[in-house]
Amino acid sequence: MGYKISWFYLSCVVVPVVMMVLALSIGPAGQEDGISLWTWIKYMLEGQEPNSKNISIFTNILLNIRLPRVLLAFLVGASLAVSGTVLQSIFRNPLVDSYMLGISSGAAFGVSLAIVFFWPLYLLAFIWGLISVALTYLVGYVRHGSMIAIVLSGMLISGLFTALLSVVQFISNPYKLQAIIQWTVGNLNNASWLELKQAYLPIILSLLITYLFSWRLNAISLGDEAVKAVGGNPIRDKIIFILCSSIMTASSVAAVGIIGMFGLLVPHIVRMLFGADNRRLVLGSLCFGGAFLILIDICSRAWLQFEIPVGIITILLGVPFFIYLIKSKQLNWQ
Amino acid sequence: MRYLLTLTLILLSAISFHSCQSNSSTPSNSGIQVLDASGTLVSLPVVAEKVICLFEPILDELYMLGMGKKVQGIPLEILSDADYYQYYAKLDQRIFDKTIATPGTESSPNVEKIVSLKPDLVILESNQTKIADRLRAINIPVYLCISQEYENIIHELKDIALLTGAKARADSLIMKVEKELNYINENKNHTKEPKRAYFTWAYGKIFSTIGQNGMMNTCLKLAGVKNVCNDPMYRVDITPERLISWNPDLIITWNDSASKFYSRSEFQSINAIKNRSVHNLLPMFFFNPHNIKAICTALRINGIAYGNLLSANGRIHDFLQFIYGEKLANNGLIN
Repeated sequence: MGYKISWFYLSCVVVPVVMMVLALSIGPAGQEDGISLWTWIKYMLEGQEPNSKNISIFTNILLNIRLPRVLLAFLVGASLAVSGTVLQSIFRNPLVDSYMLGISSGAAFGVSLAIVFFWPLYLLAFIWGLISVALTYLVGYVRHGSMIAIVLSGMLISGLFTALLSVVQFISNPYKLQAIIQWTVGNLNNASWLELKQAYLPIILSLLITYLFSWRLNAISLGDEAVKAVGGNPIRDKIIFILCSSIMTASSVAAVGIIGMFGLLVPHIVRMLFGADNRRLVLGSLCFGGAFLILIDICSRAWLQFEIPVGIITILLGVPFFIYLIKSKQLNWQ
Repeated sequence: MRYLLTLTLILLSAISFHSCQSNSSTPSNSGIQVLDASGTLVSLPVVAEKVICLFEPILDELYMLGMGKKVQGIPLEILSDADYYQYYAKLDQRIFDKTIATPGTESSPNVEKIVSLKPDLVILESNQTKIADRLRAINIPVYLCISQEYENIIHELKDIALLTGAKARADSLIMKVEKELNYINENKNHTKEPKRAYFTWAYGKIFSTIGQNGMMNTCLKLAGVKNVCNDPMYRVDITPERLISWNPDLIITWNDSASKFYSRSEFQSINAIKNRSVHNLLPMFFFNPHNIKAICTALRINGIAYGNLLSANGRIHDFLQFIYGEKLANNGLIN
């Protein structure tokens, strides 16, 4: 068991690091000048200043374009995967994903308003994402009621904001419409230190809290009575987890747009690989979710001459891999 | 003999009947016939007096042709979108008052409303073929427009002018366009190496550009600059590092602020940033590349690229005054 867990922790470190190094070394810049990440590292280790023009441009690309993009991809991937895992455990429903509480449609509506009225895009996406979660709770909360009411309410609020988004799209000119649609398929090509600065604090804080309390998810996923039996407060615990999931998802959506199915696929993949213990599941989702989005981002920018939105690649890569896992292993949902 | 007389009478009757048939087709021959973007023959017996136009670039051209009074229906977004409304409100009092009919949007025409307005002609975007078929089935003439290349724009302007009775005005507009094109051609002949330009689409999509297809690429060519993106696609998303490797001499944004580029430290090695050569095409209404205002876009890019922006802006002002008329220009439309 100890041996198995060590492999798990080792892979949680190694896989993301390998993906990050791979992502930093892949890109169109430097190929014509024969400069790669390795030659750049050699330059730096030998203490040579990047005095040549080409090296200085490559340094700029590496530190100001690829690095913030890789870090943002990791954070967004980790947060979508962890929030999906947490919500699936709380609602004890394998069909739930990180957008279940209406965050994506609320944020998309906020973005459409931002584009139409020239308001700050990140702020509106974040605020409307959280407003939709609050509405989902207001509508779905029934004292001593089933969590199914919340799931249904999330679907209703999602539908409501999708309709509102359609109204804004309907009355917008074609150029605004294109901008809104492009945002809804998720894209990392706008990632810079600025986007990272806006998103990292809420994401890291909510990931940290979720990880520290992840052991409580095991009790929650067994039902309220199980939580009470170990001296916990099920309502308080659920609120903490849902709040953290909402904040990390809203921050991610505001930073890069909507990456569909990621929060559904990755938790299942991690569960199939490492079992249903939430302590390992949360850490596994964090590390492998982050690494998986970095891999998807590599494909989106290196596959063709132009970029393909990560939301599209997620589906193209994730679904076959998911089908393979379903066929070769069993869905770990008993 | 009687038999021969009967036969002669039958033959004469047949000939006269045939002649009558030939005469009955004359009115359609003397009417107006044009081919639209889908290759469909659009026939009108006389020039249209009531026009519904749900394609914004052509709606704009109807006002340039002086046929605004014939417009009975426009796309809803002209009233709801401030970027359109602020200009169209100055072109038409009914738009200013929001009393003009809006039978649907550009992408979603409302057939019932269109029919109830009893138009002589409906102008739609080329992908609305199903709506066009439904309207044609109830004898409402429909002209489909595409406006994706320069040739389309000129062809469609001529057709719309014929259908609405503004041929002379269309001829003068086309002459003005050709005059401006000649000016740009003379201007770009002085340069040895064309400047290399990167174009970005509107509303913050600074890494979304135009490939070698479409009207904005044509505007870059007309302006005498080279599009850095050689991809054959119409719309191309790129990584920021590709922009650095392209190293364009100038960056043309559609409506975004130049600060979106200047504020990013990673772009400081790009020539366009070093030379402070990031410019936008504001107000967007005057630089619509999908009608003859594409000339304004080409003039402006040419002015930016070859250091004669002041003169280019003067020519753009004169061009806009010509196409919209002095009265409208003085009405605050242009300034």
